[in-house]
Amino acid sequence: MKSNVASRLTIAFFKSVSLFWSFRDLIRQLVLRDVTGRYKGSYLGLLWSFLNPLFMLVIYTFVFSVVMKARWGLHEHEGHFEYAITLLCGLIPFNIFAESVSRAPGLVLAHANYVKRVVFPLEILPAVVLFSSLIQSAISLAIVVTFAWLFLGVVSWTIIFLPLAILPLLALSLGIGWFLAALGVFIRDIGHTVSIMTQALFFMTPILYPASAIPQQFRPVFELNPLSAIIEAVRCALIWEKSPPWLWLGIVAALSIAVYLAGYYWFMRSKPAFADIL
Amino acid sequence: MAFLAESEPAVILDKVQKVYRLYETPIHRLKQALWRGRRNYFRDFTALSDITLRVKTGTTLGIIGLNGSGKSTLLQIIAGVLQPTVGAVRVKGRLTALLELGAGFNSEYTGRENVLVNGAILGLMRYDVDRLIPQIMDFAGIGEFFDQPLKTYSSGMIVRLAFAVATSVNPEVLLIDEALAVGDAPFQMKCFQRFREFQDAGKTIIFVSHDIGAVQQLCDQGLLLDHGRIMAFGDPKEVSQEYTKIVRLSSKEMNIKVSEAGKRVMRMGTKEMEILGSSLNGSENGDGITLNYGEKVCLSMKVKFNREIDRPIVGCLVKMMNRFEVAGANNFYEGHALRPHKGGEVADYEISFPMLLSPNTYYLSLGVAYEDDGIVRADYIECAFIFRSLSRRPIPCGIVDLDMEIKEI
Repeated sequence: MKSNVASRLTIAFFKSVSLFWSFRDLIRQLVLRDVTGRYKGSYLGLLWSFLNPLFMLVIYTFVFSVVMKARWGLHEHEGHFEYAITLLCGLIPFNIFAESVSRAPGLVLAHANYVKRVVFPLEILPAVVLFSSLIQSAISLAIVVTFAWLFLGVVSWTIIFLPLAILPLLALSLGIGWFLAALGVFIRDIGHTVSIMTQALFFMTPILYPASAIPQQFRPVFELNPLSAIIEAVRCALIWEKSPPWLWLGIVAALSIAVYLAGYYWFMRSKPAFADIL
Repeated sequence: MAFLAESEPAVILDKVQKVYRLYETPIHRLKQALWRGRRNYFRDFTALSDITLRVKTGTTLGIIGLNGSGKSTLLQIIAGVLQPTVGAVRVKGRLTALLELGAGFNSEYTGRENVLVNGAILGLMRYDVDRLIPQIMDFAGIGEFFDQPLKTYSSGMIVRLAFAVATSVNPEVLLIDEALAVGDAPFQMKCFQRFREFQDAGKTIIFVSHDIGAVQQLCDQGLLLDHGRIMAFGDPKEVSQEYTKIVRLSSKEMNIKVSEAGKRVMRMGTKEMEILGSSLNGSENGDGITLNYGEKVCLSMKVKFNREIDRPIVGCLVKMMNRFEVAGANNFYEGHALRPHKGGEVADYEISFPMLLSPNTYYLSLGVAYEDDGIVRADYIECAFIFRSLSRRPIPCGIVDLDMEIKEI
């Protein structure tokens, strides 16, 4: 019985991974379309992907460091950009999650003609959204890291740990994305619920404040939030020049893979019913 | 059953059934989910029942049937877009489906971008699509529009592009749902050529059509669906005849009331002469008549004279459904007189002509009049008969088929 479940999970895992390979051209086309689609018709086009994080950096620095005089408070000599850079190192990974999760419920509905009129691998849609936001975020993160290196001089070899923080994030986002994309077909209210939930999650995750600022009695709640571990790990790798919290990250990675598999399984199970409902 | 082995079926349907659950309100759907089958809030609607079908590799199958007979559902099930409620479907080889015009196309993007994405959806790698693009452009024949956004296209251009993409990917099984009806005559010509190429290459084609002419011309086999059941399967000619019967039956059920009401309203004249009855090729009921190209059509009517008429005139008029007059004649225009009749007499008249009209639906009006200081209309029945004409060839062009002979001299 146990081995049966294990083998089915293994099969599901390999099936879902082989998906990205066998539809790589389609995924690439659709991601490209999604990324360029955001700037279609604008004069500056893809340049906006570079301008956005720059403006955010400037505005956050002005508002938080200059006006509100906020300090991250980890050490004495904080530079002007430090708060904004630390903030963005948390915000950008969070946005990968938030974007793919909040777009998921309407995803299948928006592609109704892919459901009913063509033979289309619907399961790649959440992946397309995820990769599209990953590309955006990679550009933003590269700019933030460049700033961190120029103005804070903090970027070191620990940057090689970044993929270890990002991979669980992708698995988690995709798993939840699959789950919500399928659920959104059956229950259309999901979209609204999810946008409220992601807003709440934003404040419950140490993005605007350091994890160390959380009172001791609330710690377990925050440690249960997988995004906390991921964001801590990203900051460790990029600007704190140390290795990520291995145990915490390891548990979160295992959890993410479980969510990924469950989401995939749920999506594939409910997929045959889509055409009857839409 | 050894002979089955030599030509293996490309598509096998085994006792396929498709049942939809209809809910009155969305709340019922939720309640159903919450009660998990302990209570039922839905009505069953059977779209297809007991469909068992083997389509051999290399056959062209035409599916015909009235609206709502389950044709498209069947095609969607073969395509794998819909799952059958009961039964199994197996398709051998790569399948392409043209279920709806430009489905999977995005109107904001150019033809080229859409072809790239569509090709990827159909399972092609980028370099394959790049290789096929000149061929697709050539077949679609939309010129510089290829690099314009799809929203600037006419519907005919979208069909061209969709058909070009779907057939360029070289599928082993091709499904087409009434896509060919759009597009102008030259493009239809191209489509039929491509059709023939596919047939010659031994590919399997399944298409849905209302046009029995096309089914008879192009298909090796026909399938007639009615209310989700297979009514006939086999020789396309016989299947088309069955279809004509069903059309006649259903028009008797639905349309006859309309046209009778129409007749009463649309009947006019002095009633000095009166049409007692009429028939078209022996059919007295006004609708659902199908006439083959070249067939001799015979319109007969019984006329009662209510007073003495010296110079009676008998005639008829054929119109298209949009009231465009196609043809008409009466003995006055033809320049010959009919025998005079006394009051109370009854006469039988017959008007005959060869069927030369292109495939379409037409209606026929008939009337009697007499000559007396001009023409006085005595009795006139607008839309006495509705008929469909069937073509001798797949591609219609114009209203009249003059059976032109083409040769080199």
